[in-house]
Amino acid sequence: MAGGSARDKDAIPSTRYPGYDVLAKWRGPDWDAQTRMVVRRRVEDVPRIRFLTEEEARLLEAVSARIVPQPDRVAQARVPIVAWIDEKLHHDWRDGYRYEELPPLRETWRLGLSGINESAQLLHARQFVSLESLTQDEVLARLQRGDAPGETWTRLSATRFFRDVLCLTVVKTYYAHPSAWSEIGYSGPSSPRGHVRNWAGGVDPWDAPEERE
Amino acid sequence: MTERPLSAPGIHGERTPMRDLSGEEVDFCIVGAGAAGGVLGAKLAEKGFAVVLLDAGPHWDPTRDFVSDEVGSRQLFWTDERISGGRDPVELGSNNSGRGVGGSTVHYSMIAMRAHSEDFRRRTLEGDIPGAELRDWPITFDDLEPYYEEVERDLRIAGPTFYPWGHRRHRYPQREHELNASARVLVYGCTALGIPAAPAPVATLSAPHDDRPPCVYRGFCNYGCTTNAKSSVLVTYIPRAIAAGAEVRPGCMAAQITHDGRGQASGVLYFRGGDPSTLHRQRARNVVVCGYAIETPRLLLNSSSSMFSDGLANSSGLVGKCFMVHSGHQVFGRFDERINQYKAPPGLALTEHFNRTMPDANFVCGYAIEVVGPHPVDFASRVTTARGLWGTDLRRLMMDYNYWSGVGMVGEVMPQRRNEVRLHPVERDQYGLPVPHILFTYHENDRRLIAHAIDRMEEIMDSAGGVDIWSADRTAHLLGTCRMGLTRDDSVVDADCRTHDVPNLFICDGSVFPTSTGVNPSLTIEAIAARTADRIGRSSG
Amino acid sequence: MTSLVSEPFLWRWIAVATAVLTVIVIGESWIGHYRSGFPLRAQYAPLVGGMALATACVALALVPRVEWVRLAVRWAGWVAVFTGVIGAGYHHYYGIVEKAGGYRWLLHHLMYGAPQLAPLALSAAGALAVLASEGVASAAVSPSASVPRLALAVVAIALAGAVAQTGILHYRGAFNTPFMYAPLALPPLAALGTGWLALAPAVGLTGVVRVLLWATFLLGFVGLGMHLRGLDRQMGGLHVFLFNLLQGPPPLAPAVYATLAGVGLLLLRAW
Repeated sequence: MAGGSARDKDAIPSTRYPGYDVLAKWRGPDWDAQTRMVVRRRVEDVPRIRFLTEEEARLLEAVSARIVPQPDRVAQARVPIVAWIDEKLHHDWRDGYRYEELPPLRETWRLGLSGINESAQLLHARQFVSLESLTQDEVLARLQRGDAPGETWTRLSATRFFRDVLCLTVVKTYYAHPSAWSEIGYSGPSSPRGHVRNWAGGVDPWDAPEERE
Repeated sequence: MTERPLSAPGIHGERTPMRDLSGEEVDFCIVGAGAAGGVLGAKLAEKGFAVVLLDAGPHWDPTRDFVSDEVGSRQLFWTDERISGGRDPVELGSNNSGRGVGGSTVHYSMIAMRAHSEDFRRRTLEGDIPGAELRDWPITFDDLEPYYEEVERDLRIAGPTFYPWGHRRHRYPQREHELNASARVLVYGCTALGIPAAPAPVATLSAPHDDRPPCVYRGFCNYGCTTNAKSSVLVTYIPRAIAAGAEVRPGCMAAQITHDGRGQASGVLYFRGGDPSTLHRQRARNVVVCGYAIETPRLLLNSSSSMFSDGLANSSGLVGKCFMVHSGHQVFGRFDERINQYKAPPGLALTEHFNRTMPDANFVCGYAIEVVGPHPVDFASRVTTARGLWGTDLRRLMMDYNYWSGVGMVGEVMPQRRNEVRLHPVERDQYGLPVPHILFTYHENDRRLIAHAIDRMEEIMDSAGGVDIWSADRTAHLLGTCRMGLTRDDSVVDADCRTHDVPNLFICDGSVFPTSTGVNPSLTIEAIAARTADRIGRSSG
Repeated sequence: MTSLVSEPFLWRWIAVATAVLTVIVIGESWIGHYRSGFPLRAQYAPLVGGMALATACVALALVPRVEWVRLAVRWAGWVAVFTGVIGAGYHHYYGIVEKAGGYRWLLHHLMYGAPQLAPLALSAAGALAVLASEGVASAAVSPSASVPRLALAVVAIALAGAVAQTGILHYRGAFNTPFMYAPLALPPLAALGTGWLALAPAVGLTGVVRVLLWATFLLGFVGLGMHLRGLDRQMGGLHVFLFNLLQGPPPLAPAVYATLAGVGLLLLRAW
């Protein structure tokens, strides 16, 4: 079950910019019409699952919650990850290249997800989704190190899949969302208005104000 | 069917009328409207030739098509499938492959550097490096210098009054930009170490020019400039080409270059608008291929026929071979002041202090060190792939995003015959064309150079006060797959970018580089294109 | 016969011109300091001192015979002189010395750092105010009176400083409009002429210098228009006004030429 233990909640540091919401600048001179259109979709039109099976989607949900945990957010406020990965796979939108040792994108994901479950079964005799968070982390860490058990990983490079497909895609999806932008104090879209105080310590009036400890 | 006059998007949202040359046999059909194609198209059209530029992507309208969003900009990049292999497989896509009119100049970091005179004579200077195929260029720096000046003038390069490296030169047309925080980090670090640094010469306006305003320091340079301050080919040479009577035809994926019975190129077959069922033909007296170092050899290899069984212009067997990139490793450090590295163009300062063969080094050639300024998605990608961070560790680091700064190298890479772009034996794209298969492995010289560069970059970040310093593997640019040379057995094109095998077929882009140089290639590519236009304009017609 | 006169009436107008100059200087100071984010409390000094000076100068123009008003102007003037000099020191330290690269990157910092000569414009205004407080008091006509000649010297030096500051900033703008050469061609001649007259009053030269000063006076207004046009040429033009105010050509700065030339013309009794 996605979410994470109480230990995780303490481990996510609080943002330096608690009062900052990048979307508050929506109507201002930093957001032009085409950017609003693109980001509105991302925030409001979260697509339904069309490519992954229900089980695959639940598994990816659990995996994403370990790659980028969000225990500091209530369920409705969490940045959706699986829906956007699914959309990409549904349309078969590729990245302009794939590494030799990986099959085409859709197959890579299907294989990779089933491989994670296979490893979970071999290591802990249970499905990945029903493992404790820390145990889930252990399984994923094995993937990262390349010593995860399973026949799948003879057909798909575990390290490549983990690093250059799974982590990369989940992380990119998360940090493409305005909630992530606000949390890291990213100034966000800027057109036509750009930036003025570009020196060290410089904060434009429309940048994220920082709360000092 | 009513004849609707053709028009192209202007740079301010207007439409400019354009000639329709599809039914004619034009003087020049240029495949690829990027750095080289744009320059060639403009100059040849201005010389009075009938020119068509084909481009696989759209003709961008800067007022509508560029969004201030990383992930929302994927349409700017080549996202058709390519297979990347070798021991050091290259990351493609948004890393180095643009798509659309303006090519990679729409999304590049605008750094406009000249190569050094030594770069044109690497074989003479360094001798034979085992395992590498160093070559002298068939042109010298002096041959190219007037064209560097011409292109710098046309693009209004904004550069420093005193540039510490290279030959004496005229002042850049515009002044350098104000250093942003991440550029100052590089300067602080270099100054503390006694290394000379300079503002980077960049192709973006620091003062108004004609109807283009100066930079407003949005920082979204790598995702399309909505200000029009960035002097991409899209807003400079392409409007010139159209005004001089050229046609820029977007959405055209070149499939094959046709030739006649005498072995002369006769035109280009292409798919249009994503429709794989119909091949269109543009007849031309001359064909110029400007598709950058992957698509250019791919097109030539796909143009095999009974007369040219190994691909067009490939009697040397070198089409696709000696593929090079620049090593582009980046080093990041955390600072105790807000850097906001995403503000302003990403590369406003650099040092070329190490861009030479250094006397006490265990490698030849050198590298430049430049500032980088990744936005959140890009930076988080580095954090997870290079540092291997995920989970709460990743989120914790990213909370300090505004406090990170980074530098990156542009390192010379050896030309090796085993590094190549070839046609994949099995996979096909949506048009049925064989997908490119790119193989790349670093040479031992490259590895030593990279190690040296990473050490220096870490020192610079440390001297500037950075902590928690780490590095990320990267490459930049695509070069070398149709190199220039004097003889037909050792090169694909001659000094005028004319292929040895087919007198009316030219290649003009990064693929003609025999050696990679240690600087960003765009200015050199544009200068070569400007020179080529003069050379072929003089002899063709 | 000399045309240099110390007349209370003219000095009241000089006080007005000085007040205008002060307002322009503190206006530009506010824009520049706001752009920097007011990291130092000292950056409020020119605003406070300048407002005091401008107020005192206006008072002097209205009621020149009141002794304490003259005293207030003299004090405010000297404070402004010192504030400007100290400000120039701050600008030098924070704009060049402390910046990445320091003196090795002198040209870069001259172009982009805190403008090195701008604070001295406040000193010039202060000096003119002090001289005005003297000028309104003296009733005698003296051919070689030192107060008007000192004032002419201040005008000449201030014009020269304005030219130098303009030069570096127009160089930064790459002279993207040919008219940007104008403030480097004409005002230097006016400064030279005015300075000559301050050192050695000469009848024949006065006429020429008056013409140069008139031309400089008008140039100031044309410059205002050009800077406004320059602001409009930025992305978003006058619609993104506050942002472009911080990025583009300083909107009030050209008026410095007009006010200084105006003071010069008053001194040469050209009205």
